Amino acid sequence: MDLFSPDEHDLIVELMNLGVGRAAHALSQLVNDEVLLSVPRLEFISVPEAQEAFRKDLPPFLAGVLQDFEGFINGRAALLFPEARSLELVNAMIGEELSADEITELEQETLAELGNILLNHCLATLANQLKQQVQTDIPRAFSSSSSELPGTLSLYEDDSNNTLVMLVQIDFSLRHSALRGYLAFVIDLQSADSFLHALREYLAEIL
Amino acid sequence: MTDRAVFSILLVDDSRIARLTMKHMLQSLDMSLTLHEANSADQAEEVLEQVHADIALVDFNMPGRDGLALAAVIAERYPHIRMALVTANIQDALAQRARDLGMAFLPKPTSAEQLEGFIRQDA
Amino acid sequence: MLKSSDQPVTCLSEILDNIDCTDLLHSLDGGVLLLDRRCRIIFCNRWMIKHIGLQEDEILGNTLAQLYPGQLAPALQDAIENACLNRMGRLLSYQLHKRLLPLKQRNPNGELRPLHQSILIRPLSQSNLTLVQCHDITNAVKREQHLRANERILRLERKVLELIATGDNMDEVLIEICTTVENLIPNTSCAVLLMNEDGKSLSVKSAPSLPHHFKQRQKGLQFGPTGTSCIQAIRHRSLVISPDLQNDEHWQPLLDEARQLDIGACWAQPVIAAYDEVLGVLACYPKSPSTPSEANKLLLQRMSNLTAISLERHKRIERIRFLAMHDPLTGLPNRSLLNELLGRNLRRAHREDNKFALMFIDLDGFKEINDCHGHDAGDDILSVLSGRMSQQLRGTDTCARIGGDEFVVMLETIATVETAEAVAQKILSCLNAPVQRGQLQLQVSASIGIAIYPDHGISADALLTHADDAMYKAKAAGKNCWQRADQSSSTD
Repeated sequence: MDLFSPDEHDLIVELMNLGVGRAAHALSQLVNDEVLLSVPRLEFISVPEAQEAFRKDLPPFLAGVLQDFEGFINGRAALLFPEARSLELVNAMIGEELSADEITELEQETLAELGNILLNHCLATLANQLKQQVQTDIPRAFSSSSSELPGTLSLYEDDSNNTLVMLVQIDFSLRHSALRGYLAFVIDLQSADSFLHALREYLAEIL
Repeated sequence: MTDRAVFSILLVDDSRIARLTMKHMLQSLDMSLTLHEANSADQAEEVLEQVHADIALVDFNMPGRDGLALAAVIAERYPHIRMALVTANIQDALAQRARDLGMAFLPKPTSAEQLEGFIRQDA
Repeated sequence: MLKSSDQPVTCLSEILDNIDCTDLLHSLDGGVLLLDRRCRIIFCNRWMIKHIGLQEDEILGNTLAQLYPGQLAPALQDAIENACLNRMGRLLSYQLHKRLLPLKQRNPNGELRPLHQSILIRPLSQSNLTLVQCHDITNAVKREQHLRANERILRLERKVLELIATGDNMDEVLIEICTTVENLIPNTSCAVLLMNEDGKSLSVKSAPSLPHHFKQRQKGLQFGPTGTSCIQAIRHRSLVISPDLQNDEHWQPLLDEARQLDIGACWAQPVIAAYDEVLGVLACYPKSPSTPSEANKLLLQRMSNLTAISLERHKRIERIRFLAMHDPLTGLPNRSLLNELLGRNLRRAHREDNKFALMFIDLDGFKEINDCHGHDAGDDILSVLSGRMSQQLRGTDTCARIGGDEFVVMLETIATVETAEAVAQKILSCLNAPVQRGQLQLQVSASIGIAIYPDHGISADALLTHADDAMYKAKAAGKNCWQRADQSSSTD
C-alpha cells in the first residue's frame, strides 16, 4: 500500500518501537522480570491482502485481545498469538513454573490485560509524539480460527475502500520463553487522513 | 571549559527518522556541533575511520550487531569517545549492561535537554 | 395502526424509560463507581459502600487515593488517573495485581477476609465520567487453585503409572511415589514399609529423603494394643494418625530417633491389595506436629493404591519368573535354571581352578507307586523326597528336578572326589527312608551317577552325559547305589 511515503512509514515504525518499548517496561515492572519486545516488521495492507495474510501467515488457531480506539485515528486493534502458546505466555508472565493443561477464566483476563497494556502504550505513544489525542475502550479476550478473524475484526469485503490495515509483528522475549505475536490495527480510512496529516507535520519539523 | 566548545557527534541508528529527530533536537541546542551519521554498526566503524568524534549516540536495536556490541568495539579502539545508548528498550538489565561499558543510558524519546545534559558532562 | 411487530419495541423503550438507573446500579452484584475528571467519586453503588465499610457521604467527593492513603498499588493509581484524564480504558487482572482495593467481606462464620478482585476502568465516551467496575473473583480463584492442584496430582499420578507400566522397576516406582507425596505435602518425608515374608515384621523398602540408617531398621509387628502408627495402620487396615510424636505414648521409645530424623508426626496409610491383603504401609512424616487435611488424606489413599498396584505387579512378575525357572510341584529349580547355574559354575570353576560335582539321580520304583497308589501319592512322595535332598546340601549347592522322577544335584565346589561320594551316600540314605502317607508307608530308592569337573569333562554337555551314563551303570548294578563316571564296573 502506498498511502505512506518511506519517511512516513519509517516514522510509524519508530513510533511503534517506542510504544512497544514502553509497554515492555511497564510489563517488566508489573511482573518483576525481564520482558523484551521488539517490532521486526510493520506493513500497511489492503483488506483483501489482510484476509489473505491472516489465512497464510497466522497460526490456524489464535488467542487474541481486541480493543477499540478513537481520536486522531479511529478503529479497532487486536493482539494475536498462537492459541496453543497463550497459556505459556500467561504462565511466563505470572511466574508459574508448572504448566497447566487448560486456560481458566482468570488467565483469559490476564491475557486481556497484557493486550490492554501493549495496545494502550502503542496508541498513547503514537498520539503523544504526534501531539494528538486518542482514547481507548476496555479490552476483550477472544479465541478464533484465522479464517474467522476478518469477521471478528469486522473486516468485510466491502470495506476495501474505507479501511486500512496495519499489521505489525511483535516478538516477545521473556526470561524462559520467546513468542511471536501480531498486532493488527484496523483503521477507518477517513481518520487515516488526520493520521497522515499529523505524521507530515512531525516530519516537516525535523526534515 | 567554554560554552562554545565544539563537539563532534556520531549518530548511529538504523531508522532515518530517529536520526533526523535527534539531529533536530541537537540543532536546537545553543552549541557548536558537528554531526555525523551511520545506519549500522558496520557503517559506524567505517565513519570513525574517516572522521574524529568526541561523542557517540548509539541505538540499541539494530540489524546486524546491536548497539552494545558496537560500543564495546568503540571503547577499545577509540577510548576517548563518550557514549550514550539511546533506546526505546527501557529495561534495567540493558541499562546495567550499558553502564558496565561506561555508557550513559538515554531512554527514547529523549529530549533536547537530556542530550544537552549528557554532552556537557565534562565541559 | 400498530403492527404487532411494533409492540415489543415500544414496550422495551417504555420499560427502559421507566427504570431508575441508579436503582439498577445499586442492585448489581459487584462494585460500581463513577469518577469525574479529577478521579473523585461521584457515585458509589450499594455493593461498593458495603465492602468499603464507610458511609456513603464519607465516600462521595473523595478519590480512591484519599480513601486509602498509601494503600493503593501504583499500577492502580496510574490506571485510574490515565483513565480519568487521558481516557484510556484499563483492565486490571487478579493474576498480575494480587492486591487491588483493600476491600473486605465477612465469611459465613463471621471472619473478615480480603476480597480477590479484578477491576475494569472504562472512560464513558459521551461524558467526562469514568466507570469503575469491581468484580469479586474469590470463587474463581478458589476454583482455579483447586483445578491446578488436581492437575498437579494427576500429572504426578500419570508419571507413576507410566513407570509402573513400562517395566519391572519397583524400587524406582516407590521412590517416585515417596517423592510425589513430599512434593504435594510440603515439609514431610515419606517412606514405604513392606511386610516381610514371615508376616510378623515390617522393613523399610524405600525412603528417599530419610538417612540411610532409617532403612536399616526393622520393626517388629506386635500383637496387642501397642505399636507405632505403622503397626496400628496394618492392624486396623486404615489411616492411623499420630499428630504429635513427642506426646504419643506409643512413640516414647523412639523419641530420640524421631528428633534425629527431624520428624514431628506420623501419618500411616496401609497399602492394601486384592482380597484385603495388607502389603505394607505408606508412612508420611511431617517435620512438625500436624494433622492431615482431607485433601492430604485423599492423596495418601491415592498414592497407597498406586503402591499396591506396583507391588502386586512386581510380585506377579517375580512369580512368573519363578515359575519359568522352577518346578511348580517341588519348588526346585527346573532344567532352564539348572543350565544357567551350571554354566555359571563352569566359568567360576575354570577361573578358580576348582573341582565340582554333578549328580544324576533317578528314583527307582517310582512308576509303580504312581500306578498302584495314584499320582497324588506320587506327587506327595516327590515333595517329601526333594525336601530331604535339599536338606543334605549346602546353600551354594543346587538340587534341580529335570524330569518326572529325575533330579540333578550340583555341588558347587568339592575339596576331593570323596566329598562328593559321601554326599551321594547321604542322599541315597535319605531317599531310601520310607515316606509316611496316612496309613501307608511308601518307599523308593535311587540310582545316582556322579561326574566330576574337570575330571570327567569341562563342558556342560560332557558332564551331564557322563553323569547320565554313570547313573545307568548304577541302575544296571542293581539300583539303590551310586556310580562314579570313571568307575569301570559295580559299586565301591
